[in-house]
Amino acid sequence: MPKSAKADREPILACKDIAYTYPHSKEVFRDINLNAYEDEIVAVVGPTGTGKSTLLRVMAHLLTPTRGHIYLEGTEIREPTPNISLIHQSIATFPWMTALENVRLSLRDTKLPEEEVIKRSEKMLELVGLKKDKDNYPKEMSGGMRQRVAIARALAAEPPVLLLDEPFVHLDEFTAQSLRQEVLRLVFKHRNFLKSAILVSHNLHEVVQLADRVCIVNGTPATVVEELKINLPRPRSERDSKFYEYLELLVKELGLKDYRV
Amino acid sequence: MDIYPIALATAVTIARVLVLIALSIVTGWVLGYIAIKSRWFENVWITLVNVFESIPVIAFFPLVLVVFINGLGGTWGVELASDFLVFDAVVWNVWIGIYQAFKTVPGDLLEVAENYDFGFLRRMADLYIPHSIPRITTNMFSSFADAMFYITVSEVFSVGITTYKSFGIGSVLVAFLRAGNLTGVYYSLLCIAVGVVCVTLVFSRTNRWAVSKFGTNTDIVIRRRTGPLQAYIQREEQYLVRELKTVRHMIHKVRAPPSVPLSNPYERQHLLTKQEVKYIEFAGTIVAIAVLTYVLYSVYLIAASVSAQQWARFLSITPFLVYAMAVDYLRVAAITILSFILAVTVGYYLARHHRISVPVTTAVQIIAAFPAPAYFPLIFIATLPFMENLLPLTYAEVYIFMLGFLSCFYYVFFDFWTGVQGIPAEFWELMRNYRLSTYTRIRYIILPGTLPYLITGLSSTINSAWAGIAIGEFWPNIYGTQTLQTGIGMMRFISLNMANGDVADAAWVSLIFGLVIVVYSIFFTRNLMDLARKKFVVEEGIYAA
Repeated sequence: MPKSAKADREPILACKDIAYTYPHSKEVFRDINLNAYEDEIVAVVGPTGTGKSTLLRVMAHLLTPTRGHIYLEGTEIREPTPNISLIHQSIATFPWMTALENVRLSLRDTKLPEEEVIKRSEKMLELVGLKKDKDNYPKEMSGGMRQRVAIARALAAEPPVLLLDEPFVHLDEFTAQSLRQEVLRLVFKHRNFLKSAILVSHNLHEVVQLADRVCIVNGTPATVVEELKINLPRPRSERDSKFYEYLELLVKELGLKDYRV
Repeated sequence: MDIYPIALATAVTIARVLVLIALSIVTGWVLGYIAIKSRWFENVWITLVNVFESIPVIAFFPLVLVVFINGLGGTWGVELASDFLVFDAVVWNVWIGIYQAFKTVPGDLLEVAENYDFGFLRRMADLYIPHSIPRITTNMFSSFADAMFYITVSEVFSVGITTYKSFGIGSVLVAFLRAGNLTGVYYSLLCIAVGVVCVTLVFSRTNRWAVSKFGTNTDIVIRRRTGPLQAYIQREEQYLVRELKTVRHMIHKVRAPPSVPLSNPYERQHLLTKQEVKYIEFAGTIVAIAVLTYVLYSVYLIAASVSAQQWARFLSITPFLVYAMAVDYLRVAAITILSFILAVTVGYYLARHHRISVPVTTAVQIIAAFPAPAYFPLIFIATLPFMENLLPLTYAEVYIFMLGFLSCFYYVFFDFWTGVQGIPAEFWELMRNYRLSTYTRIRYIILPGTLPYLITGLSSTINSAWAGIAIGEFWPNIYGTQTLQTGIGMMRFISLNMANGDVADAAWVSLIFGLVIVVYSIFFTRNLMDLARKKFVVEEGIYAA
């Protein structure tokens, strides 16, 4: 099984020796070196409490790393930017805004002309299959539709990098499966702006299905203990015996004795 | 100077307020229960509470005079008049809190009570009353503050040449102020400060205990106590927990949205047999009709007792009164706008700078806890020479504005602050992630996200602004022989006519004001609150199945 393949290309997002400590608390993780390359989905997995969600927030600079540097396409990031958009685990939409207004929010303070803002917002809603629902409020939508709105809102800013913090965990399996396919389609078929995605998930099936590379974090403070490249052709099928080999490998690496593959 | 009588007066006042809060609680439990069982009673009661809550205590002076001073008379008449005015200051918060608590008892708990076939007393003792306690203890702060705010006008008031007094720190303080006795004033303020701090501390601990013990969604740990009373309380608590242990998902929040739907058919249909429901609904309807009939009959009696000549006079002064009311509304609007701007800007700043939020909110709490009319005369007398020079024509207006502002700004501040703290972390992250400007954040996220809280806060702010200007527009002998008064204002008209013994004119303007408040409450506050509840519930922004 190939492990930890080094790419010669320039990473889209590069984390160099980053560490984070919550105020008046212990260090959450340290010496994290993680790169995400073009056309690549990187998954971060690890036991609960190892700071995976915190790591995503540090990558987005929503939390300032206590050590280390983050680079986006070679430029160091020092503050939050719409170019690294975070999709939350708990689906966050503004209840007083329609789907279209929710998406427009990410473009509110750009210098784009109003027509362009609306055009782009509508295009993103179309991309996630919600063109007809643009005037609906979140409470008139299902959880899956709301998460699509959140994804459209993140994409409207045309970010090169998308950070996904367990984005399907609150959805039923059918909706989650359809959204996973959509994320794949977005990353690999709409290359004009979105180049890479980093996914945090506890669902190992989801990880094997989506990721090109998996970073396993563990320990206190957490570090990247293992990196695994998933060489499976797309579309991936759970009936494929290789799919299960990767799954078993992940279970082994994570030390999950009771996890049923 | 002997401080003992001052301390005693403070203790008497605080005891009076606490006893009347207790009376509000007991009556609130009874009325609240009837309200959730009878839609008729609920509609009448809640409408009346909403209206009376908005009317400043001073507007009740004519009623107090007719019923207690002229009707009952003597020392008891004066004491009951004071008690009525204090009761009027404390009761609305408590009643609304109990009503909201009774309306939001989780359906799961109601089902458990139904399963165990709880009777009326058990339902009250084990379900409704415990569920209402966190709200009561929370509302006791504002009830106590409201009562203390009016203490200088409810313990001593003049009608014509007669001054009516009941013993308490309010009447003692007024006597010192009129005599220009600064030492007495300082001692009084010191005693009030000690009293307010002690009561606030007790309320604070009680509230924390109540929320931890009776709240249905809280992370606060219950502190175990020892001693026979505590052991009894714990036994009762364990009993309740045992009875209700099958309940897994208690979703009610201790601080629920500021308003609740007027009807929840679940409560009316469950728990009781059809016959019991019919009986309570019938009883509630009878009570509601009786209250309405009494109110209408009283209005008729009063109207019939007024001579045609008097009616002509009322009508002739009405345009002037409407103008005076408009001037007062401008004052209230100015105070409210400043309070709102301050609340939003400071509240937003504090939300982004957690380190200073604790000292600032504590400072505002201290200011809020101390009744403005108690210390305002000192500000007045200290700054009067300067203000008279600076603004010879409008200095009174500045003082009225200042008193109104000190009386109310913290309501909208604390409500907004509570609302801002309720904005989910995800929303803050999105604001930062998309690098939204401060204007965009406030305009599109913060204000809509806090709208239900803002409406509640603004409503309380407006009510208290009225209270401030009601005292400030005509304050005879605010210090020594000094009188603070404005040239025009509805509240001045009421106070001045009461002081001159012209109760009829004062009652007429109180009635007009009451009608305006009813219209305002029905067509503005309620509609706005309904809209906020329907569309601007920030908790609905997070979907976590």
